[in-house]
Amino acid sequence: MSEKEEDRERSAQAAVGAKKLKLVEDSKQRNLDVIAGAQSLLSIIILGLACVVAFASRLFAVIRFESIIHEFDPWFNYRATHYMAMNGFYNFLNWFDERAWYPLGRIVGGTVYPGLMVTSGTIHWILNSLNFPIHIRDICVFLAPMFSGLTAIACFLLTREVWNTRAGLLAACFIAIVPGYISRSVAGSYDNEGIAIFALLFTYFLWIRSVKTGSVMWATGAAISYFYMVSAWGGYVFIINLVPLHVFALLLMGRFSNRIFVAYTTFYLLGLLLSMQVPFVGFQPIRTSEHMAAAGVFLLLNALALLRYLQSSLTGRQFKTVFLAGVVLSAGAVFTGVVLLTYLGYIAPWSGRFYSLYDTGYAKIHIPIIASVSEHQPTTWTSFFFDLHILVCVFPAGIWFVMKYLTDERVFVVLYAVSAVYFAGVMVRLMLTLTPIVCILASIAISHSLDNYMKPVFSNKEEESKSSKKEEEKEEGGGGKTGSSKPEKKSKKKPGKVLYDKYAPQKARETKAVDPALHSSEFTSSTSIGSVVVLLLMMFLVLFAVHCTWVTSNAYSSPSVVLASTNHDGSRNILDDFREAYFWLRQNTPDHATVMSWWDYGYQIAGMGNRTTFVDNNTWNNSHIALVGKAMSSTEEKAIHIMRTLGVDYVLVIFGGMIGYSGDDINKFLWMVRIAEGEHPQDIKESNYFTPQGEFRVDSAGSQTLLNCLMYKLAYYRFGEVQMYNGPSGYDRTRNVEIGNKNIKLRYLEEAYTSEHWLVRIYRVKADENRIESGNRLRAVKHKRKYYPRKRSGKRRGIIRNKISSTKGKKPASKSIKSSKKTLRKGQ
Amino acid sequence: MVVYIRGLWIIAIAFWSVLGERSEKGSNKLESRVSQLLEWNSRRSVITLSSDKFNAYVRSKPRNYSSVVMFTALKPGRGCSICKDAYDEYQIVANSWRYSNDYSSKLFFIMVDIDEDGVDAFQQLHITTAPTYFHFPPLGKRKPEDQYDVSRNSYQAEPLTKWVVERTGVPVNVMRPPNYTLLMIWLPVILLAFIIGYLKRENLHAIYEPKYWAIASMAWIFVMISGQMWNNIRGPPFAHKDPHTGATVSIGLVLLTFIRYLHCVYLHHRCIWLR
Repeated sequence: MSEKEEDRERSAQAAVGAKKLKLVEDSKQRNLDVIAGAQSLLSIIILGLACVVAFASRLFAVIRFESIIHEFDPWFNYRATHYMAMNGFYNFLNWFDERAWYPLGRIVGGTVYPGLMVTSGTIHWILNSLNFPIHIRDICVFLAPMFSGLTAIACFLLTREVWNTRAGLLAACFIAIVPGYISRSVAGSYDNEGIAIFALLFTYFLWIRSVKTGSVMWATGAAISYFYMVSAWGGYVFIINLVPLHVFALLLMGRFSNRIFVAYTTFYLLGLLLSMQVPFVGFQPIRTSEHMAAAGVFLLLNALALLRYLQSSLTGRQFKTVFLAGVVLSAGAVFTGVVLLTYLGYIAPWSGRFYSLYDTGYAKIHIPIIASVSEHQPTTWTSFFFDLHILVCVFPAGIWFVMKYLTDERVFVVLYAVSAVYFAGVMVRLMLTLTPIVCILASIAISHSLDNYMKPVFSNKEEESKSSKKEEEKEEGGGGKTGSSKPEKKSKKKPGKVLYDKYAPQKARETKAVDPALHSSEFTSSTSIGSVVVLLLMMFLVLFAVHCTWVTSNAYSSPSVVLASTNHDGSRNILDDFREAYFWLRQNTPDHATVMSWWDYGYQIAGMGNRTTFVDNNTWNNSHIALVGKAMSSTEEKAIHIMRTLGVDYVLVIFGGMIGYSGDDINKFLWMVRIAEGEHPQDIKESNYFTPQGEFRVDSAGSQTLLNCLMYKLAYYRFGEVQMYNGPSGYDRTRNVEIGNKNIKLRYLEEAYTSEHWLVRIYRVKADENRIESGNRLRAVKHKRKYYPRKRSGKRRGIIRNKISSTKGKKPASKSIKSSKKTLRKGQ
Repeated sequence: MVVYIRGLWIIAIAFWSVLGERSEKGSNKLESRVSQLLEWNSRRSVITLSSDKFNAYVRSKPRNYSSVVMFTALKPGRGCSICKDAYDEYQIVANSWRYSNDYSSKLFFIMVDIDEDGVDAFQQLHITTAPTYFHFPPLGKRKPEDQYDVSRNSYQAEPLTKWVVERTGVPVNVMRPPNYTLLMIWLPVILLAFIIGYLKRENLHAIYEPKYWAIASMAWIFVMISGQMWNNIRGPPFAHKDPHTGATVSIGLVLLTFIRYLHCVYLHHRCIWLR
């Protein structure tokens, strides 16, 4: 009885205990679920905010100026997109543009990466079919900011694959505002890079995913994303070299696995086939050396897989002989094959631009047109710091952490960083490819440090606080952005965000920004070293956000089509000379008039002025450019000959001496001379344009060749009459000298138009003088050559050509008088 | 009329015969000179001439060959420090012409040394500095461009060759003998690495240690982002102008680069310490 009762009691107790335990576990589980849910919610919110910030921080130019296309190349892209939207995709592929490279023309469909145009064309089509009547220009202007938001997501995904979610969120925030990427993707800068960085990161994400899972699906996704990248930007070569390098490194490290085999073979074959569908790329992937590394790794990987298979089915000794023979044979076959194909011309050697990446002195010596472009210069450390700020200092630490816990996909990140940093060092332009990996690695480093130092303080609710911490940080970034970017909208700031004024002293700003973060996380009580480190990191990140906003607002948001200057009282002065002049061309010249200018302005003339150009920013024909350079740098008499041959109607020069604009044609002039000298060394000599002391001067001490060349004449025509303030007349404000040739007379050209601030000057080429022969000739004049013996050359008689022969008592024929007049004019 | 033309013919024939005789004489002399120059050239790619021979072979007319002449002072007593380097570069140009496939008697590389009986030649051409390069064309007079501008173009073989090609129209490609100094520096290092690797072949798994690779890649990154690449391509800035005072400050940028280095190293240490 008692036993039974005891049993019952015991079992009841046990049931109660179990119930209690279950309850506790349930609540724990629920708590965990809540935490996980909150985490993912927070992640989504932060990611969304990062996208919004990425979009919003790129709109400075649109707010300050208007929704226009920037700079040079975007104008061509816009024109091509416009053509595609009007005429359809197939007409675009077959488009022969007779308005560029006159008289050669340009096959546009086969010489552009169509990804950009197709993307915005598709968006335009979708919106229009949904009855949103939006102009294609607005889509083009806002495409790059939109894709920056997507890049933030791609960066998050990639970092999450490599490290963890927390680092991923940080990376997304970084890439949203880092100047190195903003420089190429502000609203209006409608260029390939804007969408290509998204494609690059997304391809890498999918590749890492496929390496991790070894699934054909992800590898196929990577190949498709790669196809999008190929259709968008020439930088796809970076992918097709980096991915094989990754595989190769993994092989060397002895990390071969079937996952890698599946991923790479799928990616390579599909990617190869897909990339060859882009008309501009065509057969390059199997014919040029840039793509050979991928093919080599493909062969190697297959050979290795075969060996492994043989190893599993053969005995040790057999395998050894087979292995040796196989290695020797295949190495020999591959080597001779490559050499033979290169020799026969099936595999082209490296193209100049790529070659200049490897042999850094190459471009300077051999290709002036590549060396002349400022974005092909090597990078100084200041521009690293300017574009990446604190991230450039932190990201080597990221490498360290990644190497410490090495896995297959982290090898990829290291290789990416090491190769991209080299390319960025060689060419300023390639800073763009370095920026994402810097963001990723810096976020890993910072997130890892935060993980370490916030552990002792928040051991219980570690996860929550970390994400809230990040939230704070994010908010700070966002607050910094809106606060400093739009000082005029101060009243509209949200109360929750940390605000600081752009004009407030630095120190006050920092404390203001950091303090709420500390209070909110109840952090002040701890005096451990961790708090100091976290505080420091926060401060750096705040400074980073401030720097990014400042750089974006001041350095990268100028359309360069419209110039702005600030007056003494702080008001802004807008110089709209370019558009004024291009619109004049559009309105006042015949539809098929041809305009000669230096190649920088070709796309703008075609895009805004809608007139035929001779050379433009697609510098495919060096000799044509050299011809224009020769015309600009020779005397008017020689230049008119070239211009008549080319069929020039108008000449356009950019002149900044009136308002002090430094990017004008006189400052670019030496490159024209250099490029012309490269093709016509007999006629143009660079040294002739310098003073004997080796200086390039436009004042009276300058060389006579310079003072009389066409470019000088066109830039300074009638400038000698201009007197500003109390200075001398003809004072060039860009070069701060009084010009040397004030009395310029033009013979074959006449001034047609000069814009308000003299920034753009347009000249008309005069037609030939009127010397048409009349249809009903009454008498043909024959010119007889009289023979005078050589011997008497010392005492040669003078002759009068077409002398009127008169006979006594006869009236001289009127025709002969006319003809003598004609010859007179001829000799003029 | 007919008589007149016939008379002209006679005169013309007479004139031609006289001229032909003269040119025959000239060509005899010319041939001997060319053969003499060729013979010298077969021994040495740069022919050293004294003043008299210079006048006889380079300046006398008629000629059918171009000659490029370097006036120099190689004797150590003259204290011309760059003359030796200039001579080496000149030798490279001359060798690349001498051993090229297009080698002919169209072009000779000649040197006149002031201390090897060349004072007269220096005086004739009013040369006061060394090295000075002249080109003597086969026909016509020397133009101002026939003097090579050393101060602007340097005495390096490449610009010199460019000038020679421009003036003479003869294709010359610079073929530098391979530079072994780099190899000599690196060979011991590589050998040492191999020896160490061989001796320690039991412990070779160390190269799989990510730590070393991490250090190597970080070093690489530091080199790249600290502007060393820029220095490598553009040449290091030894001096730069102070924007405020206009005074030249030497090694300013280099110093800044070092500051940056310290900065990076400092951060690096901090990060390791953070770990």
